[in-house]
Amino acid sequence: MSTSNQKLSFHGNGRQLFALQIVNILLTVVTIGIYYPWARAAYMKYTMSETEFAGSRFAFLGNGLELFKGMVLGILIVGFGYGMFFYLSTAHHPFIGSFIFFFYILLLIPFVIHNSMRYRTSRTTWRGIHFGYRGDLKELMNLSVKGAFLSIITLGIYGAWYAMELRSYVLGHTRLGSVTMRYEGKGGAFFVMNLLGYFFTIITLGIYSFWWMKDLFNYYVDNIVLEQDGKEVRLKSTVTGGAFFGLLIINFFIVILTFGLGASWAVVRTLNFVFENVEFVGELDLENIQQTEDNYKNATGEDLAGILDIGMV
Amino acid sequence: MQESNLFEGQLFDGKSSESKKVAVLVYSDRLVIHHQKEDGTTETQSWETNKLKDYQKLAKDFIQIQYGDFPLQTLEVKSETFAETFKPPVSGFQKVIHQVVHGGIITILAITFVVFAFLGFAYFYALPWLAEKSVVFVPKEYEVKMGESIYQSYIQSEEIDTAKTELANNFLKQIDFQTDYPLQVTVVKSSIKNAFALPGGHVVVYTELLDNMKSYEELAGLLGHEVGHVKQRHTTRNIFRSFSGYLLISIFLGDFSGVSATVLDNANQLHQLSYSRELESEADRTGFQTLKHNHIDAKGMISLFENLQKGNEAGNVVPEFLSTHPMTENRMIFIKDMIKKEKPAHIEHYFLEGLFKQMTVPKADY
Repeated sequence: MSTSNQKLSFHGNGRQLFALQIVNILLTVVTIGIYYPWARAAYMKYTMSETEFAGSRFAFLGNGLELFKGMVLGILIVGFGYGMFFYLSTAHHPFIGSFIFFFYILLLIPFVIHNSMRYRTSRTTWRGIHFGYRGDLKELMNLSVKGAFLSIITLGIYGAWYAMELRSYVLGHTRLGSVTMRYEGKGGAFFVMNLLGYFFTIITLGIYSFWWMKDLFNYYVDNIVLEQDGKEVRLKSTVTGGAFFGLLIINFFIVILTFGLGASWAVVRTLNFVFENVEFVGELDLENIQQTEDNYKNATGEDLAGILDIGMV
Repeated sequence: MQESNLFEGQLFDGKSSESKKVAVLVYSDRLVIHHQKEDGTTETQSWETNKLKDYQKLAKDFIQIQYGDFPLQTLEVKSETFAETFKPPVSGFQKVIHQVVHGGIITILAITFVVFAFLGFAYFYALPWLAEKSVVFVPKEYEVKMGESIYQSYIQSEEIDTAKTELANNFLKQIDFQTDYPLQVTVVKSSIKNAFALPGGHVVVYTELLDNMKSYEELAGLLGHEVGHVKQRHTTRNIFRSFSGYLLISIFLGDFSGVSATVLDNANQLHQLSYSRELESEADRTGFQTLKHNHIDAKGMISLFENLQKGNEAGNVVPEFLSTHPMTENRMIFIKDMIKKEKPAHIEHYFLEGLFKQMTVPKADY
């Protein structure tokens, strides 16, 4: 068991992904959207099972039906919020309506993140071991509300700390069986990095942006630490600004010159790029990861995350 | 000669990530799995084929199978023969999807073609039709409110000619537009020859257009046209159509790239322009019917178009497909045809003429 086999790789290709996407689109459009949850399940199954770590592939065990139930519930929740907002607005209480709606969305976001993480992790396995998310919804809501308000009061400055707190909480409660995770990024360093990145990008008329992205990627990856039975394995990024430039520029042309049809190839290129540039420093004991999580099947947050366009990790 | 049904695999028992080397025997209705432990004893399991939880063919020679209740056990077999020998209970639908994903280029191209044909049909025919039909659900009061707020924000930055506005509203009241929308005209001081209507009943006419009119029938024709927009709910219909088209394009492209947002916006606008021309023609038709109903000489509309053409010689260079209005010649031809066909009777309206003379002054030097 050498360190060299403990890394991620992607085995899918653009053509297969494109085929999957185009079939998904066909069926989704023909069924006026009803097929969408099954399309998402097929997509997640494909991308997961084509991702390999140390010789074994991941597996996504969710299915379209679970996602469908979640989607229906999700639509009802969002619809209720909008309905309430419109009712209050037309009943001559637009100010109260906006205020309540803002709060509703504010609480909805941690709800979505929480449920989505719970569902996705529990449906994903590696060598039969389920991932898990053990965060507490109330804690996440408190964190979100506090973070949002402080960010507003400080005209966005606190946002850096808020982002790091959120990331730390979510990753810190994510695990693969008996392998736990934590994120060590801090708001202060994150704020300074973004401030410098922003100014240098402006001064260089955008050229520095690729190095700013590299800094962000590094900060997201290098601060992830895996822990197993007291031993630690860190993640390390080997990305360079130049490599980012190459990835994004070529992706841009692939997508534009094909009027969007080439997007699947761009996605695969990006996945390959991410996996090739994440190294594991240290060794996990691959034979001894214990199953620790319970069965969890509720997909309510998952489709909402898609509908509300909330990106995870 | 019997083919071997014995294979080597890795079993993960779902309790830990330990990989157990196993021997796998394939039978018609089950898999039998033998694991030899360190102490020499053998563990055996029987997995019934129709009780498998999941099956993934990850490559020609790489199969992954899940079995059992939570926590699932996972079996990995890396053998091409196994992949061919073992027939999993995958649903026909899953098989089809798998065939497509790992299939030939012809299949992919065929499906892509079908998708585009379908989307094209939806975008150019089905959705616009559906959007049009849904306008019925927008209550009139809502259009009136919307138009009113647009009007209020618009009028802030404009100078109203109050005298002409009062006269114009008196003029308006003399004509039966056959609608219960609350109609109201405002004359705005401007050197642009234009007029427009808002949903719900507000009509705005610029002084440059009004002052260059030769007869009250022209003004009546203009008002008939603009009120036609209101009666036919053109702005609302345009919004619905535009939005549904945009929505379809962005659903199709949305997951892929946000850069195309500008492209699709422009493409959608180009398509909407042809729709706008349709609406303008419809407004011309409605205006003509209003004049006919009120026994006002429809030739007024023809002079209106001549008037517009005079002010816009430079503007007529715009090719029709880029224009929001049909070419003026075509509009004139259309009205002339309608007059020939319907031969509307008309009378003189001295009261309207009187109001009109008060409204229009000879072109002064500004």
